[in-house]
Amino acid sequence: MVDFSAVMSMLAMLQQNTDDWFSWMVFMLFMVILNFYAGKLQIQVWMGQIGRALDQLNRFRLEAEREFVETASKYGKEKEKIKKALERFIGFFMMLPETIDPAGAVLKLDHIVRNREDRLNFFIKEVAPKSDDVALANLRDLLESTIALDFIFRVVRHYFVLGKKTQNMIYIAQIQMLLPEIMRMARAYRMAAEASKRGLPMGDGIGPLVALRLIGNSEVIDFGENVVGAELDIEGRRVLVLKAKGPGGEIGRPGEALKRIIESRAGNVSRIMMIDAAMKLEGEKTGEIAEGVGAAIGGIGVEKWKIEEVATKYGIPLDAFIIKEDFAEAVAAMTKEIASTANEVANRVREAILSRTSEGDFVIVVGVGNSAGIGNRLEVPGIAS
Amino acid sequence: MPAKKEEVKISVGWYFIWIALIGMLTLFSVLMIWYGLKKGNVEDTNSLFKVIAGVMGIGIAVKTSMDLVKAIRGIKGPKWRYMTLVKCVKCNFKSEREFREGEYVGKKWDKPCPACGAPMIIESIYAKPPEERRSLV
Ligand SMILES: [Zn+2]
Repeated sequence: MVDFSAVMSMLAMLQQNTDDWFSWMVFMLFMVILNFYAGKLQIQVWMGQIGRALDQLNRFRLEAEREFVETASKYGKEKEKIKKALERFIGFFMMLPETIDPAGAVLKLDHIVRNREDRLNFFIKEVAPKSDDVALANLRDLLESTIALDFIFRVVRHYFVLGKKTQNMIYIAQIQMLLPEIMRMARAYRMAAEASKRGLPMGDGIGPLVALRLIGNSEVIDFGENVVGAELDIEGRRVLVLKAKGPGGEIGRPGEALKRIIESRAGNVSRIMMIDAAMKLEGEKTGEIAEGVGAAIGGIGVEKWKIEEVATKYGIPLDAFIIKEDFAEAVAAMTKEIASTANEVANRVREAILSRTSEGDFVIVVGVGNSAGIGNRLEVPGIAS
Repeated sequence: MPAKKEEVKISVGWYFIWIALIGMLTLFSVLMIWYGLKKGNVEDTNSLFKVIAGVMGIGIAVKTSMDLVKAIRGIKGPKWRYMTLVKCVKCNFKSEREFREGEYVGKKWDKPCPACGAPMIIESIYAKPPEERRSLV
């Protein structure tokens, strides 16, 4: 890689002071060696970066584990036992169903997702037998962040060790280039663990928060599947507002609840409106509100599928309101700029109901998202919502 | 956790080495500049080279220590503050306070409004980002 003209000028300089030819030889030898070993040097630099990231990931993982043990120990079991149980459980995973034969894959997925949640709940009940619904949901969220952090650590460590063993640039380059994104995710899960530990609302909770703003102090009904709701009268329209059951960190199964409600009304619903946090593009402002159509609900896809199925079956239009956030903002504690959009979104939903439906219509509004730190209604009687 | 202690030790050692290297580099660079500027051989190209090397060395030391500060700060993590905003249901009196575990949006506040005596509710709970520190690093 030594430039030819550079070599020429070096030779010219060599001729100028011939008495110093020895240092020039050393210099050129050094250049040659550097050429051969540049790759190796690069690998060392990258391995150093990955090693430091791994150190930090390990710290995140251990901190989250410690927080889980500490929080769970408030509910009736010794720390040592919880730690042992967590060590055995931390590798918990979910196998996705086979889709070679796609028919019925969603139902299989639904089944497995329920299985997973049952197992997580069972584990929490085991390590924190005295926890109530709210504490259980928050502990489960904390556990999920801990599992995610552990998994990220394992993957990065895998590539680190593989790179060390093989000294293969491809393995090392792969993980080094993904490192900023991996660390961003890890930091997000670390902040999520912090929010779950304290029972704070997270960015993803904007949907339930808007629902709460709409519900005000109306009486709420439990629809099962960890979904609650209240029926309101908005200028002659009957509006059923649904949200996940709070204030524990539940997402509920709004799809299943919606399906049951619509089936029980034999499809007599004129509109479904959904509110959810959605991934923003870089450069977009956090808390930007956008309107569209379709089922605004994230997750693994089961609930979305159910809503689309039932809406299609009865030809019910789907309106979507989304609040833009990035991944870290969605899982970490809700920031002020996100929280402050709730009133604006609630107003927009009200306006949409008034302009798109007529008196006597039945409308369902769903505030999708994690209900941690968000109650089901305003617990004060006698105020207008 | 015994594993945890070990990890922390390793990283403390790592940062110690880092700081030592920066110190050595700075010392070396200062010496280079000093020799380069010493009276008597200022005209020499060799001394010019020494000065350039010294300045570059200090540049690298500054950059590395900035990275170090960043890394340490990254570990500590920015300190977020969690706030609870309570609001009077009648007169719109609002008050912001530190969040305490067990609070949630919609919960009735245990004290009445100081302005009008009506009940208060938790209007919202949010995280406040850490104060931006305006410094070189
Ligand atoms: Zn008042």
